Amino acid sequence: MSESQLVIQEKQQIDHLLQSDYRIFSIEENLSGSFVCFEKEGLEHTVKDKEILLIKTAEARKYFSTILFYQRV
Amino acid sequence: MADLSINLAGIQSPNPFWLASAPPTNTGYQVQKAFEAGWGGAVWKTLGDPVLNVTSRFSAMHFNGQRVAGFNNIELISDRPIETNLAEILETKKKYPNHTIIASLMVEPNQEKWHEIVKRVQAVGVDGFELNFGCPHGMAERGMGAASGQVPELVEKQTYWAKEVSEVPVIVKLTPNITDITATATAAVAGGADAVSMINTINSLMGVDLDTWNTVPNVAGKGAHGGYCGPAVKPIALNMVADCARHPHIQVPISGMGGVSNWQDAVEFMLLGATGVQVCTAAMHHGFRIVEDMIDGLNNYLEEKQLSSVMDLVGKSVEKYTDWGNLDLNHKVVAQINNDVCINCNKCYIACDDTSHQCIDRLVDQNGNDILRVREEDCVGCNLCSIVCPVDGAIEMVDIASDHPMTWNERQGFLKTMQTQITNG
Repeated sequence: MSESQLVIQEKQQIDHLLQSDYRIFSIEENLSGSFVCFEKEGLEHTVKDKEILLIKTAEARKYFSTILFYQRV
Repeated sequence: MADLSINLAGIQSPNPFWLASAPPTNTGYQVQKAFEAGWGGAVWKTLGDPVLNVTSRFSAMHFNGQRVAGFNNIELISDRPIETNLAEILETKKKYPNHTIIASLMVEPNQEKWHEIVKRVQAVGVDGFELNFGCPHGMAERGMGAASGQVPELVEKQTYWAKEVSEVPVIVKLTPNITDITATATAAVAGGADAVSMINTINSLMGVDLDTWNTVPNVAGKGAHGGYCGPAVKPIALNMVADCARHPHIQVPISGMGGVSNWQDAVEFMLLGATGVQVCTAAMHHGFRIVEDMIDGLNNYLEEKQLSSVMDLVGKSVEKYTDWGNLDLNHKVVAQINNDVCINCNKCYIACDDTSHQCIDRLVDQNGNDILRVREEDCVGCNLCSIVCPVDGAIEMVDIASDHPMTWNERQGFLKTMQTQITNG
């Protein structure tokens, strides 16, 4: 799989979770890439579900960072 | 005609082109000849305790047909008595009162020595001093030049000693043979420097003769490191000039040098913060009259840009130079190949496929012609294909503006905030 196809795949995974009412809760970065923890809230702010994506490509790491950055500024 | 005159820390000069302290400014004969040719100023070859020189002294790097892409020397400071130099400085200044004469000085790190030489030289009427803390060879082995220029405390102290008795502006010339030139530039400013100049030459060994196994150059079969300069060092010099120009604690004028060979180079140095430039290798390669083209070219450029004074250029690009962490991660540049111009040499394909990001495809168009095409989605905008392409206009690097700029520093800042919020619940 080419690098650009990997990027598309990882972006789609991120988009899918965000469109499914998940939000990025935390990010842990290490030698392997970015472990992005997504959480979905249940009733009364309880955590209903949790998903962790390992984002390996640089472009997809820029992608989720940019989404997060612009949500916060 | 635009106003080419400059004012560098109170030193007036009819134009920004000075000869650097080096073999071209060894004698009154040479400096007067240079002024006749049009040079605005000259930094007299370094004065100090007379030295003994060796032969041979110079060597050059010729690269792919370009002679003197780089230049190396192991010549020391002036080997003539100070009385001879001072008499010629006096005579030259009398004949050319409107031209700038700066005396380059180098003595041991000793207050009395600095006071003595400053007082003696300023008595003949120089426009300023340049303290040579940069010469990397020979004198450095004796604790002078780059040896003391690599120690911020010594730079500060010696600058202070010179300033104690100097009645004219003091420029401190810095060595590039140091990890961070802003450390010594800051020390010079702390010592009271009115300006800094950079870069002196870079430690170098030009090569080894494959037949004799002697170093190049060599003296009776033995070599010693020299100082490297010429066009090859310009990028190193530009970075150091710009780093000093944007440093909050180095707010003094900069005299820029290192590979300045034409008016375009001079403009680049000035845009990055230099108030004027010094030239050596280009004059040694082509003679003093190259300054005629420099003056004409600079004047034409200023007129094209509708600038009335060359001083309007100083520092205009400094704010565009920053740390890597402040660059936009989302800005994208991609290569586009114009197959109407491309000669199908495949240099770009080979460079990209072997050593970069494998994003150029070799295809055959509908007419059966070999063509090259960039897969833009895989192109990282590294520029390598356009750098190796031998045909102007065959490869264009196209900017794709980002709607959502974000720098590394911004990213790391909000990730840290995010982590803190999680930790604090």
